Amino acid sequence: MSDPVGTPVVAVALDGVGWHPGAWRRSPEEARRSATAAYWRDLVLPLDDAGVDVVTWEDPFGIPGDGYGEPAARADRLRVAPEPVLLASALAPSTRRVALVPSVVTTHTEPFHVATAVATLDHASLGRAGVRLRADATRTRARLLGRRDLPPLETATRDAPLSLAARDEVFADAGEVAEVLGRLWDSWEDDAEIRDATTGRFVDRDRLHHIDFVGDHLAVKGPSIVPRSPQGRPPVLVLAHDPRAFALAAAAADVVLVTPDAPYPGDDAAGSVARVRAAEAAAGRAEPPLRVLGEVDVVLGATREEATRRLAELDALAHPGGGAWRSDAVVVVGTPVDLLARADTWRAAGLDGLRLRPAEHAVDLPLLLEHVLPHLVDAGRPVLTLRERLGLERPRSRYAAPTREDAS
Amino acid sequence: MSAGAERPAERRPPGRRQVRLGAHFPGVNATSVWSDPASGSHIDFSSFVHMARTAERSRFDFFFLAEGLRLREKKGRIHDLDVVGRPDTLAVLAALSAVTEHLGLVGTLTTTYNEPYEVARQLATLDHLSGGRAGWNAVTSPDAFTGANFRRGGFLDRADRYDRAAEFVTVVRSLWRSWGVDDLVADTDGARFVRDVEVGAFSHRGRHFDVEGHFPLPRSPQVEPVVLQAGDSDAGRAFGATHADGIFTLARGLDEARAFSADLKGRAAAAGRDPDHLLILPAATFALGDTTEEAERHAAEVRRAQVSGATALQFLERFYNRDLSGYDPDGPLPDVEPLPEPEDPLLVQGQVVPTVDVVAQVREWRELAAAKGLSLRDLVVEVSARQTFVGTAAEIAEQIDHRVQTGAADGFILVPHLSPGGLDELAERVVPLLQERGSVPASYTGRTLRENLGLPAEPPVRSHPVRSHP
Repeated sequence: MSDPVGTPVVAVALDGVGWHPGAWRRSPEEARRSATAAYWRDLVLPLDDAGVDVVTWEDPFGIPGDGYGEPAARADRLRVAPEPVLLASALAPSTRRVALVPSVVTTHTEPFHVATAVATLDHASLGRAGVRLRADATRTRARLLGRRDLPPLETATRDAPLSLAARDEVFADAGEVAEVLGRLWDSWEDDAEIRDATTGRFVDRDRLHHIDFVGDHLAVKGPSIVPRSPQGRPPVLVLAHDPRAFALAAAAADVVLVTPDAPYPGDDAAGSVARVRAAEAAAGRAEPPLRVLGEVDVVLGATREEATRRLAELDALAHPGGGAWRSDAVVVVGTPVDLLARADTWRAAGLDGLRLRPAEHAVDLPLLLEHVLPHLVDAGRPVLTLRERLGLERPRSRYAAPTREDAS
Repeated sequence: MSAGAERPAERRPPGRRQVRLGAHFPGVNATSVWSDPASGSHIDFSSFVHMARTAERSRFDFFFLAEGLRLREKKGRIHDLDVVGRPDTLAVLAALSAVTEHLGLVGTLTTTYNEPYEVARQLATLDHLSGGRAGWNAVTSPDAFTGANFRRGGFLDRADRYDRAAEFVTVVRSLWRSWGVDDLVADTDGARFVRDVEVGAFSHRGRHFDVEGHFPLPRSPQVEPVVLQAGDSDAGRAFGATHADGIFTLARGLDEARAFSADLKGRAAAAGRDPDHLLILPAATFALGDTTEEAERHAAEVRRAQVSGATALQFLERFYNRDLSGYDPDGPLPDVEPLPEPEDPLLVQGQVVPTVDVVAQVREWRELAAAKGLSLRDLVVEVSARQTFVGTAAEIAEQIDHRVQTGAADGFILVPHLSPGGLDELAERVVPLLQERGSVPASYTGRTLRENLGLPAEPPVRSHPVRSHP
């Protein structure tokens, strides 16, 4: 892949006060402030200065849950989940280089609002916006809106027929949402605003396009209300475990987030990349190949023993009756050197980069900043759009008339 | 509050009413002049920063954004004569929260193509991020034309829209209040983040919404972000008087404005509310000059710039209900008669439909044009909207203050005709005069938008708690 910086793409995933459900017990004051701008600025500005490529925000949509399945209300869990597109927007003016990527639940939002909000984030950040799309099949979250009827997601077996049908439905819906986003972002050609005083026309309406999307799940007429943004189409990210998510990524994303090792035996980093390439072939992908980032939870310590002890303590806080953190990603419990060694292995196996998920913001982010990120990212890197950083060209609008080069 | 007694705001003459000021970013309509060399971008974030900072330097209470969810069309083609294109309201306000400290951030969001849970979470997020500066202008959208951009579609009957809006706002407020004052405990020893498992729980079953769950945000700085309402119909007024903290309305003549304000405040009182806690905030345009004559000249130039020949034809089409694109704007008014209904329903998509008798209206304009020797374009310049306030800085300050002191309004949402610098002169020259009079405080004295607007910091509960089913 063309890489203008020459280093792996490094994203840091921020979520609450850290990815481990016990993290808030260590940082109660941070947890209390976790919807304020000051809290997020303090986290993001050092990452921006360090040269980190991307910061992402999760969207539990409702109250945060512990993992797969219907989220259960518990008094001993962090219950703060601000709207991530607005969080990202509030960080745009005070950051310079880092790309801002909120997650959006496609199942319960209006694609028109999502398209215009992400395009606006791209304008406000001068080309540093992206969006991670997530389909959600839980009944608990559907009931927050009361608009879509979903059966309870059966957690005992992931393959219960009702849950399979619900997942089919929400992923099919997400595919249509992704298609609508791309079309709306293309619905204004770059030079649509002409300000022609002679004819009194502000725009050339021949360069604005109805998208006329009619799918099985939704229909959107268009065009967008937002003129084309600096990147044209902000990059789309999809996290994939489910085969449906690999298919969605291959059809509609620019970046796919995969789990490069256990807990899925046989799915080592090379295996994950092979699954991505197979999905691309099956989808007949015409776009540039997906950028593949590995999902890594991080519990760091000066020694392996210290890291192991930290995880044990977090687990004891989160699961007083016994039990361990159930993560969907690789969990690296070790020293910064251990993490860098794994990163080298994954890089050699074909991953384009990593998304690092700190178990505890207050502890793991400073360790990452001091001991890991200086080896992975370039603190002196230039200001780039997210597409540029990913080595992706700025696309022409699909509605634009072919140029002479296209014809030749 | 003893410290506040020494602040300039408290020195105002007794009985003087405070002038509330909003700064309206130039909109997607014929008010905004894009042909002026000083006209900059309507989409670059730097334009929003410029205007918001200007407003904050001059102690405006809030920045205001309108909403448009579908580009206007004529016969299926995009309307191309005015400014076209705008950003997403909430994303811009969230970004502006990072470059301002005191300014309220008020956005227009429809109750028709959003869900209460989403809007409640978005505005509570904005309120947390901005430290208590969020506001919402709640509107309704009746038309299937806009609905074509949304999953929900365009099914909502005009008669039902305020019914849905009232239930919508009630549910939103219930979610904002779903966390009590002491619900976030973050007690690490007791292993409780929230007081008990039911914190934030809601359950509502009504005609339009059937929702339940747990709200994922603690009580925000304002508890309830400020709610404005726009809509002048009887149903709109009833809705606003019951549910809103302020009414965003049209500028009117002095007597009509007083009657409107008295009607709304009377309705609020009848609903058991303090009428001072329902602010009447008309949108107002302005033209400023060093002398009265210069201001008048400037006003006329701006109106002419707002009405190009093509815009004049488009304006008249809404009254003629005919396609007039073949007529010469510099010639006389079209000699064809107006139609009672548009000859083609696609002629005026997404535009406000006149409610007057179009035949009588056109007859009146023909007589006016004949008497004054006006071309088609001259006539439209003459009869289309005039600036609300025209004059020197001192005259405009007097006009604004007079209206507020005599009960015609509680303040104004000022709409400049240029982006991004259209507010600069007014902010620098007129607002200081209002401050000298004691009608606008010298600085921000409140912590939140609600406090700066003189609204109760802890709004009374207006809706039933949603935990109990109706």
